[in-house]
Amino acid sequence: MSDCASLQALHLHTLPLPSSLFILFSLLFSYPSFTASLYSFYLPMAESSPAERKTVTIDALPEDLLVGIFDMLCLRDQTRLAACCTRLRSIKQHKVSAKFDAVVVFWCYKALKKARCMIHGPKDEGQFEIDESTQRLFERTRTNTLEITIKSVDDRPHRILSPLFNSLQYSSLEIDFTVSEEHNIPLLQNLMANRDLNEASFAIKWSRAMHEDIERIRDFLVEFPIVKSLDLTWIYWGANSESLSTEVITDVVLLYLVGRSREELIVGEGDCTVGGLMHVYDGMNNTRCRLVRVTVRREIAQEFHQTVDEPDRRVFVFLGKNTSHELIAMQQIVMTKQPEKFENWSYN
Amino acid sequence: MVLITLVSSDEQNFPVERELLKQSGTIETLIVNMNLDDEDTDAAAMPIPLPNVKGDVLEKVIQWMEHHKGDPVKEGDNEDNNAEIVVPQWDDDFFKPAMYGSKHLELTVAASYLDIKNLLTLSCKAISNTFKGKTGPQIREEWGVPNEFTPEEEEAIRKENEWSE
Repeated sequence: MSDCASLQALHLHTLPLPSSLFILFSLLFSYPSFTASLYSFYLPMAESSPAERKTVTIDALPEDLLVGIFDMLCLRDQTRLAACCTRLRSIKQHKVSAKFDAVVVFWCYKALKKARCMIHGPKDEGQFEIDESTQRLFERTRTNTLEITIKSVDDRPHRILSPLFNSLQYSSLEIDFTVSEEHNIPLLQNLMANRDLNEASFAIKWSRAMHEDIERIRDFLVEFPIVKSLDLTWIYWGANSESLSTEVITDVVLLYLVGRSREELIVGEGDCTVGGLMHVYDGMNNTRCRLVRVTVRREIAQEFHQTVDEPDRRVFVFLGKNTSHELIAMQQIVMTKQPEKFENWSYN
Repeated sequence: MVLITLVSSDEQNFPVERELLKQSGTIETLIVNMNLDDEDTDAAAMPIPLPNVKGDVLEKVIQWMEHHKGDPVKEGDNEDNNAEIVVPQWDDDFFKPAMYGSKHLELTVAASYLDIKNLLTLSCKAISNTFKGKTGPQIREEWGVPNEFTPEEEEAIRKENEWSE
């Protein structure tokens, strides 16, 4: 086939105008090398001629390949490889994200602080002290779960963990405050700041909340961002313990949280009215939230259950078993758009 | 059987079965855009120059593609867990003789340039496997990387990485 015939076969008319012009000019000014010009239009050119090309060494591989190689290593091996030379060190620091299955922090009273990072299964787990270098470790890090237990009555967990996890991305945050402390909420706020939490799940546990926590927890909850799911757990201690959650989870707070939970909302005990629960029930029809669990006074639960219109509805309501708290009979309510999951669940 | 000629940077010609080249995203795009699959086009008369791949490396790439003929071709970014990838025995034996040398690295660069995703993944994995459990100085020694750190810098890095020892 002649070059003229190949011109037709190359379908220049299908190329964008500037490209066609470029090829035609290549043809006019360099007819014998036309075919080569056309290929070079599609193929990236060599950075240097073969004769000039130097031997490839591991540290001179293109950056995207080195990032790919780092990604195939566990964090421990990534760190060791980065200690090899300045280029690998720089790529590790600026381009490679560490991935953990879980980052688990247990903070005890006397500054006993331990972080355990589980990477690619339990075999590679590492446990280390938190210091400046550890802080750098979390600069470009993603974890499935960030699990924190705080057992401290001062602001150190907030002071140290907030900057440490400043840019740590997580899919799920599980945090347990085993003591009442005014910096617990600021720590939570910092762990949630500047992140896209739309796909994140939250499990927040207040094991020993005190009366002074009520106001700040409520203020925190009514500012809650949109998340995938939210599970609030409250533990009550001793015979004279009080249900603080009923003072936090009011009609207004519950309705607000339904609008912020894309899939599930579990809140523990609430001081809700039948009217408030009806608002939540109606609100679920207008949101993507498919499950709400709240425990209320038994008579409220029963009345709400009778009030809800039975037929032709997307949301179904189930009542859980009776419980009691502070000698008050309570009953759990589940409102769900997936009733099949609760068919054998009702205790009614 | 349709043959398409690839020309390496050192002007060596490699006639390759059309079917094999489907593994290379770069060449496949070129073939489609240049209508080399058309019956009217004399593909044999239009060799494809590969200015970034030397003859000995291209020969290895073709050898790899021949062995993996018919394997499903990966599309898009690799979403697999990179740590879980296992290099099959044949590929391990294929890479091993050139490992720690320039040739394996050039093969990896060629796989990237030619967009042969499976070869690139396995080649990178084979490289990463050589790093497992090794310290920075050990990797330097095995791969012939010069030590650019001052003793002070090296000590600081060692201290920073103490947790990984």
